[in-house]
Amino acid sequence: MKLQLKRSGQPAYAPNWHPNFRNTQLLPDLKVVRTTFFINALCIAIASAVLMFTGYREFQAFDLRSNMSAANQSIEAQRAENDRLLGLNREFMDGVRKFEEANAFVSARISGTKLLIALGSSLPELMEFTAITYEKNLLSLRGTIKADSESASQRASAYLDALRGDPFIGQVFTDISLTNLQRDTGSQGMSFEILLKQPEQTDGRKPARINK
Amino acid sequence: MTLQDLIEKLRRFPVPTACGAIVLVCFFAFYLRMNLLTDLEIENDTVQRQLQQVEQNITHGKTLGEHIEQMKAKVAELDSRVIKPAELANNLKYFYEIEATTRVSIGDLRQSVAAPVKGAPKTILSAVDYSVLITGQFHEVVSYLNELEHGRYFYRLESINLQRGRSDGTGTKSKADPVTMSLNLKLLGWP
Repeated sequence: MKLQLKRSGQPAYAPNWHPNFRNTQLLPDLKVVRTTFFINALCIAIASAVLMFTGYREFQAFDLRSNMSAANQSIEAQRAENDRLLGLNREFMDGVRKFEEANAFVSARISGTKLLIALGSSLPELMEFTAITYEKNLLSLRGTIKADSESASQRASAYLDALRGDPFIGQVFTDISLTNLQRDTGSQGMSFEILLKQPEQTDGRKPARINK
Repeated sequence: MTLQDLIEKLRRFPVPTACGAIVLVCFFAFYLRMNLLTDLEIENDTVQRQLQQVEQNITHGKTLGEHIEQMKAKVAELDSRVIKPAELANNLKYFYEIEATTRVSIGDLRQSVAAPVKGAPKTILSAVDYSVLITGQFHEVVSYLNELEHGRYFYRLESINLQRGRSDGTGTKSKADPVTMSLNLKLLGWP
């Protein structure tokens, strides 16, 4: 018989061994014990998980109640001061409302003085007013031009341009037009009528303040 | 299987029985208090918001007392510029005082209080209507209007009608002719 040489890379060991004296025929069956253990363990795990879940919810509820209780106590402690300040605030807001109403009241107005002064200062020679009427965003100017029909027409057109270019009238009235120009037997000239319209406020906003 | 058998069986497995009982109790409790956390969270949010509001009120209200004093003074000033419709004599006197300073002549002066419009928003103040007929030179009439605009009471022009009068009865008009102005205006007043 030839002895094989031990290879240099292979470890030198012998497998562990011991005599097996167990008589498996006589030993009790451990499977039942094992099964019971696992079932119990599983039941305990499930019950523990459910208990923890319930406990966590109860803890959250307790925490929320504590927070609410603390907040309510804090509110109660500050209620008197808060009520006093709310009363002051109501008083303040009543004042503010009064100012807002007064402001809205005066904001929508047109300055009659400035209107008359602007009309008077922009009126050219040989033209004069017989009536000036302003109502509901509409200004009507009636008057006479002491000139023949051709010259009167040119003067009326020039006056319309002057009105449109006036810093007050041109800004307040956006639509300016000549509505009548005819011979006036009384003054030996031409009588005219000019209509000036203010823009309508349709978007619910307050009219622009025109009291320049 | 009788009840006795069932009890006997449960006794044989005490741990699973106890665990099952615990699970049942927990599920029952969960069922009963299913919405508890949600309700508590909503309630807590409400209370916390209230608290936050109260704290903000107190923080922001530190200077409110001082502002109220200033506001009261301004409101008193405003109130003094609001007309009382019931005091007719005083109200008309206001127009006649301006007449005296501007040298115009008041031909007609009326006060009327407009009936409240149905459905209109409730307001603290309201407008009192006046109609005035004035005669005078153009500059005097303009001066009267100017006094009203910058006068004691808050004013708003509703309509104006200015006509040149005839002084010599011949029908010819000159620049020295007096003018007649019909005014409709509102003064801010108490309801």
